[in-house]
Amino acid sequence: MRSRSYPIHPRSETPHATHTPRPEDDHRIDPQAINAKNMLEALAWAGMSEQEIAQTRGNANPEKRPWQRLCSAVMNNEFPEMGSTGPEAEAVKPAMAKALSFSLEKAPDFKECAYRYEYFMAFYNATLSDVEERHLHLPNVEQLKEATSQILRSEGDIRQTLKSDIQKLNELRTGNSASVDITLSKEEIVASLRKQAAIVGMGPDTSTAYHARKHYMELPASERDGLHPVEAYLNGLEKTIREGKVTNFKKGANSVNVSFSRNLPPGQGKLPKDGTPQHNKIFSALFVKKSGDTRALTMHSKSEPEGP
Amino acid sequence: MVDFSPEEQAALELLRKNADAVPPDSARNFPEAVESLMRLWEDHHRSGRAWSPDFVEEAARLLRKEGNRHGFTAYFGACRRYSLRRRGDGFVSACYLRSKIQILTDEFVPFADFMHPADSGALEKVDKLYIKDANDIAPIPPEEIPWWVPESHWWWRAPTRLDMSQQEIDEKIHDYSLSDFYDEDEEMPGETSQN
Repeated sequence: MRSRSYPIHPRSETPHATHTPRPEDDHRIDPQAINAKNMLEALAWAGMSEQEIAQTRGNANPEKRPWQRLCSAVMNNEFPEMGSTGPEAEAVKPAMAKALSFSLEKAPDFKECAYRYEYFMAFYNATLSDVEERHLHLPNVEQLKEATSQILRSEGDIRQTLKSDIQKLNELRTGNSASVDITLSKEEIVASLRKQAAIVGMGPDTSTAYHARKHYMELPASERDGLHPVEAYLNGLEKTIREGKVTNFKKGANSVNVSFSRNLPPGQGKLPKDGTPQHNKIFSALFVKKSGDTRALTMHSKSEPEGP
Repeated sequence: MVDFSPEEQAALELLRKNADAVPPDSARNFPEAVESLMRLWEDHHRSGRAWSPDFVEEAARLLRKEGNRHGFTAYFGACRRYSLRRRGDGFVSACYLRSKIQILTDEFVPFADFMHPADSGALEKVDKLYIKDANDIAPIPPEEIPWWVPESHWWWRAPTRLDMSQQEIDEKIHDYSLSDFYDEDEEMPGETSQN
């Protein structure tokens, strides 16, 4: 027998409950200019002087591609407390300074800098997550100090891991890269991609290593056990292209987008921490340029309703 | 003697088990306990029923135990980490976790009572992140917002650039950049030759 019930009254009163988007603001805002400005502020916050920033950027136009790619890497992977002041901010700054020095070693190749920043951040986030899980009694400022201390000590490991990842990648992806004629029919393009599945790559080595490290654990254990993460990831990519169902096909004047998706064995997908359903598919998005150059943009697991 | 439903008993049992757990188990067990409470929340919304005061009292009592308070701080930490990736692929996960945190703190235990005293303002800090860069977060289509999300959970609708191109949205949510595939001066899809 249920005990007496009372109505639910949502008690949350937030200051932004009535926040609504302002379309006129969207049209006034230039995202590239905002990104560039935010990036300058982020670099200064992490301890770079105006002179160091100017020297690093050189003649690169801050609103054009290579620098914007680095802006995206830094702003899309924000350090905790970035831009703020106080003890928590001071705890984090050395970690961000290290991420920047690791990445900017490859300046003025700002795309490569972006990939290195993303790679470093993947390790930082894993470190922070582990610290937060194990030191639950500590206030956040102490957790941040511990994460910074650990990541600074890990620099050698990160370098070694990246070197090993790139070495493995170069062993596995030698020779020609995949190429497809975009004037062919959908069926012919898909057939060509499946035929070349073993040589479809993901572009620059560091970027491929980043994606592999980020997502390889989403593959079933049977596809990972005993293998280097990069090898497991590229094998998984090949299998997805070769065996997956085509879930998206879009042909433009100068490019083709194709997505493949294959089922995961029941119960073997990633269990998301946000409570959404366990992942049941491996998904890959491929892109073919006008020239025929073909690349996988990403491969990761996802949850999708079972189709007919 | 209070009679709880089997679903309520299951939820309380998960909280009971985690109440005395230590790190890292107290962190790893907590999401399952949250999901059991969320299933009850969804059930109540679907049927127009309400929490029983006895259940709320017992759940709150167990949530205040050290293992669950620690579990909550780790759960909030995950929300914060996804929120820091809001301009990339983190926003949807951040919204889910932020909503579940709001429901826990509205219905059972205030945020400050879960957290270390030094971190009682941490939720406000996270909320400011959604406003600060609202023009650079991929908007979530209204039909993809879960049915159980209350109207007051504004963060789902925080993104302001509603005409963001599908290409840019895909790049953000799948964490890639098409520009990696093109040289600096090479025209990309969607660009005109004036760019």
